[in-house]
Amino acid sequence: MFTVLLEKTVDGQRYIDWLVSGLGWTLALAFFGWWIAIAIGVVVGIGRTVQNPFFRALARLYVEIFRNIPVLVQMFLWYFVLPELLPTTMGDWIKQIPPPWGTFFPALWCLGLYTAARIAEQVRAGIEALPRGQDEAAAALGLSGYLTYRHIILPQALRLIVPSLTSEVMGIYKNTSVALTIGLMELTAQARQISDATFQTFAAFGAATLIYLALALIAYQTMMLIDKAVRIPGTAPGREAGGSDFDDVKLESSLPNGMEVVK
Amino acid sequence: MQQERTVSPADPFPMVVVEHLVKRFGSFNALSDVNLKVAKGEKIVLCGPSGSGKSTLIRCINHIEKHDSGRIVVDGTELTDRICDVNNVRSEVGMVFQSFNLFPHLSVLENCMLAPMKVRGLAESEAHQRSMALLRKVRIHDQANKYPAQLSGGQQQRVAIARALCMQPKIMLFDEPTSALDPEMVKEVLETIVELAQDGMTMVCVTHEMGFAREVADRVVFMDRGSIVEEGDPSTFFRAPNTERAKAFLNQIIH
Ligand SMILES: Nc1ncnc2c1ncn2[C@@H]1O[C@H](COP(=O)(O)OP(=O)(O)OP(=O)(O)O)[C@@H](O)[C@H]1O
Ligand SMILES: [Mg+2]
Repeated sequence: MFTVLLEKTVDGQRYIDWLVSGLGWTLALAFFGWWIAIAIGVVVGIGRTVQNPFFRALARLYVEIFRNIPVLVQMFLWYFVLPELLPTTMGDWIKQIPPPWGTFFPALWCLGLYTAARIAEQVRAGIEALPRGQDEAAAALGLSGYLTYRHIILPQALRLIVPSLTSEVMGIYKNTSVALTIGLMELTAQARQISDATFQTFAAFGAATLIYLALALIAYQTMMLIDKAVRIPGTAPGREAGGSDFDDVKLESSLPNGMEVVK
Repeated sequence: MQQERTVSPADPFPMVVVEHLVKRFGSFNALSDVNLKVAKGEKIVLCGPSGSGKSTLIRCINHIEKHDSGRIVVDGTELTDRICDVNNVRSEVGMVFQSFNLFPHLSVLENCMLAPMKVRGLAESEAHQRSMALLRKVRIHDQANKYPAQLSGGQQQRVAIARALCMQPKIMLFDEPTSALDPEMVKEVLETIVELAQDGMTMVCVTHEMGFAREVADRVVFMDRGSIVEEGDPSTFFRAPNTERAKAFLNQIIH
């Protein structure tokens, strides 16, 4: 079924090379976008919880703007609108950036900032979920606000949100496909190009689908491993990951009884 | 030791001075005009019915709760809103909470070492040494590398005491340190606090453990509805309280 992928293209490559190149751009977008998102998301998430009303408002504004505008629109804003808004020399300079990078950077920026807004909300939820006693104990020891966030609040809040960050990891790499709308030849764009060139729509998009699914699985497993690795000794396993383990155990132990009932 | 137990409340350099302290939550007066002096080396047991403001008072002493008016002076430093003052005072005042409030993501040893290193700027080796010494003092040094969730309540509370002591505080505040514990663990924690008292530590302890109060307290302070109603030495207070409110309260806790 996928044999078409091994056929030669007009430029002397094979179609599968197109897919691999697309996968490369998809991964690059997701990977670097993720680090931008984490860095900004943690800072903004903290901003949502600090005492200072100015920083709180600023962080809130960021989240509301970047979370509520559709990614597609944000993509267009960064790519088409931003160069027009900047002073002409700077705008022209941006438009001059050669092809893959001229679309890659706006897409990277767009996905990073959008995902950051979503991560910021997770971080805020994680911080607010901590018992107030933690703050108080830190304060009673004379730890400053900065030290308290750095050593007490963040390490706990970030551990707490690992399971919910899994869906953000998956979100960012799925959203990379939106970059095709500004012309970045990532995985979906390459699949469409193959489909256009060969009329093998099913093979082209089928292959892309399988790749996306494999990526999802890898992302999920990685996050599970991270969750396990950072778990605090002596605490109950996290709801998502450990909950099912626990059910399995219960299921096994209750199996004999169940079988008896069946008999 | 003997000297410190007989120190008089008229000490010219008291450890804590609380004057005309008022604390409101909205329109509710949690503390109204509270006056209290704690001399160096003095041990005070604070008791009173639920909601009388005991926790609020000791939380004001290290500014976990901001007071609305009045003065609080801790070891010569008046508590104002200046952040450096607040952090300075807090690092001199140890606090032990009812619910332990250990940092669950840090080992027992790390719980103890964090503040001495980050606030006091101690070298790691020095902080380690001090922490182990104090963990040994509360007889929990063999659990130093465990995490809080792996310890019993009594063990956790002893770690919390060691953690506070690692800052070498000038005064220790205890807010019902044993009331979240199973009965069989109360003793081990009280013994630890008694030893601390015998070492001459200044302390204010909110507790309803009367045996403990008799053994340790220089003074029992009874609070009701946000004010100090009566104070006296423990034997007099428990045997023959002056006020009706204290009588009613003591009847209740004795059953
Ligand atoms: N954060 C708060 N917001 C509003 N009211 C509060 C707050 N903290 C305490 N209070 C009120 O202040 C009063 C005194 O509370 P406090 O905790 O000091 O009492 P307590 O003597 O320690 O009681 P307990 O023995 O139950 O611990 C109570 O009526 C309580 O409801
Ligand atoms: Mg209380």
